[in-house]
Amino acid sequence: MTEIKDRASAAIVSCGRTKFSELWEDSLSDLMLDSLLESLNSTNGNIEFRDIESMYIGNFISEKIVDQGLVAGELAQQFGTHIPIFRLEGACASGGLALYNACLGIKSGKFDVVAVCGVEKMTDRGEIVTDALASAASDWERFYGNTFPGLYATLMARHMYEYGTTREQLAMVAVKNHQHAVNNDKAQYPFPIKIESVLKSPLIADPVRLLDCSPVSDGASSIILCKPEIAKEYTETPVYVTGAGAATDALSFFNRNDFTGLAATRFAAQGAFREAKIIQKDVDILEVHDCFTIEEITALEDLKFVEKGEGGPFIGESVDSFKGSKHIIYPTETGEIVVNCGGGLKADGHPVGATGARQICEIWEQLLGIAGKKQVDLDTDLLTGVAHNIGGTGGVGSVHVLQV
Amino acid sequence: MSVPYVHRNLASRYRLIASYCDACNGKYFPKRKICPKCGNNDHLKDISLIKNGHRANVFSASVIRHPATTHTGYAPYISAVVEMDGYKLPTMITDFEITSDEIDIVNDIIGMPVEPVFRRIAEQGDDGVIEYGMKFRPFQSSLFKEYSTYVPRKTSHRAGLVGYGVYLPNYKVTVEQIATTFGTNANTYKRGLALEEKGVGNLDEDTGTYSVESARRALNHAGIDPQKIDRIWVGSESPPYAVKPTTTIVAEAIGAVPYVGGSDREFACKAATDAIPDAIALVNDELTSKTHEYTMVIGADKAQARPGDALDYSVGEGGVTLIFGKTDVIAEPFGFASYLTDTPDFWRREFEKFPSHGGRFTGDPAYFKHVMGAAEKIMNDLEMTPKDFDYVVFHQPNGKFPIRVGTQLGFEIEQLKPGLMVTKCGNLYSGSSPLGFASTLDIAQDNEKILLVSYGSGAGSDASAWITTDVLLEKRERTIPVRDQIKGRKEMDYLQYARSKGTLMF
Repeated sequence: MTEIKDRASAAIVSCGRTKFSELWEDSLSDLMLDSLLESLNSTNGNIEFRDIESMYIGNFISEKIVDQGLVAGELAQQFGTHIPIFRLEGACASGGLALYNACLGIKSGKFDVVAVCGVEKMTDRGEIVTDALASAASDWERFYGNTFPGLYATLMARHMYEYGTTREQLAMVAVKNHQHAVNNDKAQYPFPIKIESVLKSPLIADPVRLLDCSPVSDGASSIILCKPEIAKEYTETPVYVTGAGAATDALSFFNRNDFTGLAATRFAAQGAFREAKIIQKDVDILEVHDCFTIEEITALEDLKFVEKGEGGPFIGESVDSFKGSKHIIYPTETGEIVVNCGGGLKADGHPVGATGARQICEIWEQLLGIAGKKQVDLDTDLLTGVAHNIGGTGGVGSVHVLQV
Repeated sequence: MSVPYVHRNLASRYRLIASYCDACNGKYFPKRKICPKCGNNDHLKDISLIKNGHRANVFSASVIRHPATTHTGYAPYISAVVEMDGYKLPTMITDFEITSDEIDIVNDIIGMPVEPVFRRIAEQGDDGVIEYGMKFRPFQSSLFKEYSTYVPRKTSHRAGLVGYGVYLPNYKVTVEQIATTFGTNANTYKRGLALEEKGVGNLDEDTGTYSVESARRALNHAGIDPQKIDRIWVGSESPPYAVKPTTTIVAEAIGAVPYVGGSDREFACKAATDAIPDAIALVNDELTSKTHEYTMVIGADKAQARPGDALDYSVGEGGVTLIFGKTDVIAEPFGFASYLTDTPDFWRREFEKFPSHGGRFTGDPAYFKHVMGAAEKIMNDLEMTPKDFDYVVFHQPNGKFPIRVGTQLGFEIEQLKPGLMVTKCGNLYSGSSPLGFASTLDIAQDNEKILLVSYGSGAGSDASAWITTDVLLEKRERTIPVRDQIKGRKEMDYLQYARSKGTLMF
């Protein structure tokens, strides 16, 4: 039985993140630096910036919102460095792809210590955010005036049509994620909401309503990683990345074969689970990509925690029977799990490029028991967490397995 | 978005060009270079889905209430995926009422039968290119004809009309509605001008879309390959561009490109009939008929009027297409005459949004003088009297003028009735007398004589005399009759009407 650290492609030394919100006073650069400095500081001096040999930035629309490409140069300027810095773009999976490539950098043997920074600045040009986000869809979809919410609404409608998933079940996803954000002091919306509010919230793209949608946010999240063999030099409590999977699918939703789920999730998960040598019953916590409420349902199905088509009633039941305590537990057939421990995209916020890294940050805190008021408390020890990050309507996806 | 980008995608947008792999039966939209199923890329063939049949079903959809800036003026609208002949296509669903209440996509939209229509999708700003393409609207069997070719049977020795198509929009506004809006007495127009209601298009309809839709219907009526159309003229006084012909939009949309000629014409309401002698001559003449097998004339307008002006009560919308050739002729022309003077009865200066007119001056010195001038000339030349004709069709700016001029010329009201559509359709401007011609052909028997007399302000009249053939009856089942198109139209209020006309800047 190999040790976890022998299977790992990288070890996480520390994470850091900004608040996710409308951060009018912070520029793209401010956000990156704040999150990187927080992750460096929490190494208690074990790692300083000059120890980092390469960096991986996850960012989607800096060109469109702040007219800035070549973000690598901005970081080089701020830190006064010449190290190689790469920017990964995969729409909302940019953060996950940045981590995936950081692990490749370490696994290849080229780097000992690297950093990941997922960042997005969205609020500088609110009036073109819909146009900017639509660049993750295909040109024919844009030609016909479809938008991000519209495309997920199309998937949601088909899921409701084929499986009978109800409006109420979908609303429960938002209610649950808000509940989880109440104790997350970095969340954009740390307050509970009621089902009725979701069902009466303004229509965005029938059947999607405002409270089905993750918000427009600014924020950044960073991770510092090193070779698994040397992790103990930097931290007593490394968290290992034992599985990393990435996959793609047709850009146009109408060119897919599956209209009620995302093949990118399935292929990325297969790769990650196989590498980590885990199955569903090993997983304790899950960070899924709930850009819209339907995606939490399809994620559970695509990650095979529930049968295809049963995500709706499963979640509906679980949330409905929730009585007290902080986190709503999903009693899957293979064991209890908690999904989106700090509120997910809906309530924690969704600065697009930052989310993939923020998910890692959340899992890191939870597995180490340092999540403070939002710490998940299950009967079993928290040993394995899975992060699921999707780009666009599923053109790109990444899944990472973290273990202690 | 850039102009080169629109150019590269234009043919696919207009004709829904997909790829079919004849090695593995793979069906892909939009067209592609690689067959992902079998990799036999050489077996991928371009196929226009417009040709393959017209019915589809909605696979899934959503109502876009907060669009990107590219589509702001059209919200809310339905963006959808439809399934047609095993292809899945992105599109929009149009002519479907959307209110602020939630639309039940699952129960009311998924599975809905729909048919493709040519519509305006977006504009690149007020001064930029207009982007057209295909949308889908709810299927109505009375307004649908399956596409099929017509096997050629007869070649006449003389050129004539071989097919016609009419497109009228699915909405209307009543004279009462307009009168209420402006505090006038509806009877002034209902009794005084014999006007009841008129057709209005949806926000995404304009002269370009009316031209294309009526042209596609005419092609289906004639049952011919669009590549055989050799010259096209669109006559209109409301073209989508001040400079850039509507004719090219039609040529591309019907698939007549590239070996085709033509241009737009303007002569107020006689812009289309103006091209008929030319259209006939090209397919009839010994020299030009070698390279002109079929020609096409279109009269289409989204007729404009100053809000509240008398014209506002009568202006209509729609398109009428006539196709001429020598094979399977349904009506042969046997005489032409024109009457023209410089008479300023109705005009629009450049940069003016609405036309101006001379009030009562538009009557005797304008309409009546020229219509009678052309009608009398043609009958004198042919040595015929009104009794020798079965039907007469006049330009119809209102329901009274045609009857008065017909009576003055010596025609009976029964000869006029089949061609008098203005009371329910409004004045289609360049499409006005062509519409009457079409509605007459809808019911005429074989071997009947029709006199068509148009009128265009400025001013002039074209008269043409036609005799129908038995092929008219054989092809009749291939057409969508005018009278069917005015049944079941949904009513708009004045605000929606003004928004559609473009009078309101959204």
